[in-house]
Amino acid sequence: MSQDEAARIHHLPAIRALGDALTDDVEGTSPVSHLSQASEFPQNMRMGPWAMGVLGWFLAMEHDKIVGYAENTVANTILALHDHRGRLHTVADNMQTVETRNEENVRRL
Amino acid sequence: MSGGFKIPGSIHTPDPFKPGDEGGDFKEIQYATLAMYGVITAVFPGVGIWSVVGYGLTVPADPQVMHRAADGWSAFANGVQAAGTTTKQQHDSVSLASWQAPERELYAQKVTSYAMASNAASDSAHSLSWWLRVAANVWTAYIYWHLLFAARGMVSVIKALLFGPGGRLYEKMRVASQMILAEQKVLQLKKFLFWNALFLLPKLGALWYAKHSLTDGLKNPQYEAGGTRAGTAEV
Repeated sequence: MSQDEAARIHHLPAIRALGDALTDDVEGTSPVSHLSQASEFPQNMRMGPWAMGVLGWFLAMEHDKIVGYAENTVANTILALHDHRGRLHTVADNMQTVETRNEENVRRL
Repeated sequence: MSGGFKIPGSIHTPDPFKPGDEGGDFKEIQYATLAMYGVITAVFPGVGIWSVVGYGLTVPADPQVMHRAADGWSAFANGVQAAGTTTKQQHDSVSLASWQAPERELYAQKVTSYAMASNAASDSAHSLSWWLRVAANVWTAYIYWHLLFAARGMVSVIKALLFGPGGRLYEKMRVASQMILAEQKVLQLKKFLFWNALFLLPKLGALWYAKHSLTDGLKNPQYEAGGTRAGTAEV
């Protein structure tokens, strides 16, 4: 572990801040807020089977299905971004643990 | 609401994002047109009941609802793109000097692929919005055109009522109605079926396009049941 220590320069608050910026609106609108805003479709975004005429029912139904796809994708992405924030924090925590241990080793020596 | 090209319906079109907007700007026009077709067909059977049925099938269509969906899609596209761009900017704003580790490389790859996926989704939503606007405007033009057409026939019916039979259109429709035979009725039905089948082709094409190409960015099949990342939440 100690041989590649020289290559590692960590600014832990920056990594944590990067994670937080994904989900919280600290510095401007965060990606998560952008996404949750985007997924707030107007009322009746699903147009119902007859909105393109009786003989266009399959198109209108396909459109409503696509709305469902888009909602799913956005919900998944929001979850993933939260996940990412957690992972960045874990990375930062791990680095801190390693550094604390190293310092203890140095002190013991 | 986002600006999109739109043939105006009524003057007091409600904002698509306002709650309780059920659409239906064109319903009065559509019902009036249908009623006029009905009257004309009752007076001149030669016009054919199938043109009334054909128009009746299009009455539930609502261009306003399509415009609202298009508004929704363009807002969606902007939001998704903004999310991707923001993530990329946040990632780039952390200086290389403050974080040098293998994890950084991995994270950068993920952020890049996420930004690309966002752009794809945004492009899909933008083109979907554009096609919905085209469809809505074609429907609007269709509604106005049929209104004019029905009004023209109605004028000759009213003229005949007030000043007695006469006029070029009246003569034409009268002659057509006089010699209406069973064979001709079958022919009219055949024509109706033929044209509706013909108009189904571009719609089926649109369905295929929507399923296989237009919405690729929105579907993200990896997350669907049976996909490679089903049930997971990864960027």
